[in-house]
Amino acid sequence: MYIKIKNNHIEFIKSANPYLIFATIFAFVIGLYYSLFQSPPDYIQGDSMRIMYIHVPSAWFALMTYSILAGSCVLWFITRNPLFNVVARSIAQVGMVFTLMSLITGSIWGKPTWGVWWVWDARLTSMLILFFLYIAYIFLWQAISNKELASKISAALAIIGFINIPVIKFSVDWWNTLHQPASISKLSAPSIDVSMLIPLFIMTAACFLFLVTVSLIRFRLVLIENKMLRTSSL
Amino acid sequence: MNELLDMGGYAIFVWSSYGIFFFSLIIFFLINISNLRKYEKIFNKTKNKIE
Repeated sequence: MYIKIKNNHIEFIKSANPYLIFATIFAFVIGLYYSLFQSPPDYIQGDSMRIMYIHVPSAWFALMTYSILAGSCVLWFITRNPLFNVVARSIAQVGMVFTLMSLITGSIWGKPTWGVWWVWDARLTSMLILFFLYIAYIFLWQAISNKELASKISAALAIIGFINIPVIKFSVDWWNTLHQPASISKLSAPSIDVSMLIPLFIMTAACFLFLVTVSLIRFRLVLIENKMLRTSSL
Repeated sequence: MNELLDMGGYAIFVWSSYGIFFFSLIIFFLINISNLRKYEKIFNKTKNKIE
């Protein structure tokens, strides 16, 4: 299995870019309208609950991006196809930004809800570890000058770090945490009202479009970086 | 309008969250777009020199 990136693939990604940017902006505008104007305040948390519309999608994509990153690293180890390395490096920074957003917005939401900015409970701590894993992956690759070795070490770190993903997901069930359990589950009906689900799903779609748009921009950037590295080593 | 800005007394928390979130996403997007343009320019220059 060896997938090669052809010039027409890059041209296709390039031509899709403006449409993706437009779709992302459009989805965020609609999402903001629903989040701030259409959705009712929560009967306990009041309007502070509106932070959920940016906090939850950020957390979901922080986890999803890391899963793709770890999956790409596994495939790179098996096939040694550089494409998987490029994919991993393209999405790592986007995942790091979503993790940071999840931590910051969660902390701001925590103050009016729990009365504290931060607690060292299992969910928050494991999320902070995820942020450090992203940073370690990005900086390891940059710090090691031998890029073959850098790819091996950073990919190994990403794969080992994947242990943290189920810990984050199930931390609220395994331990007694201040963080609430999941309100939306695949196995049961969501415990939040549909008037709040709609803005949440629109904001999730907007964040997904942002993830795709920036990942594709970074994909082109990483490909050029690779070509420049190869040119300079010749 | 005032009701919206006040956010039921949670204005500082809600607006600062949204502000930080969108500011960070926009800055991150702009950094990557400008880096891509910069790298494309350098790469094309190098390619032309080699050719």
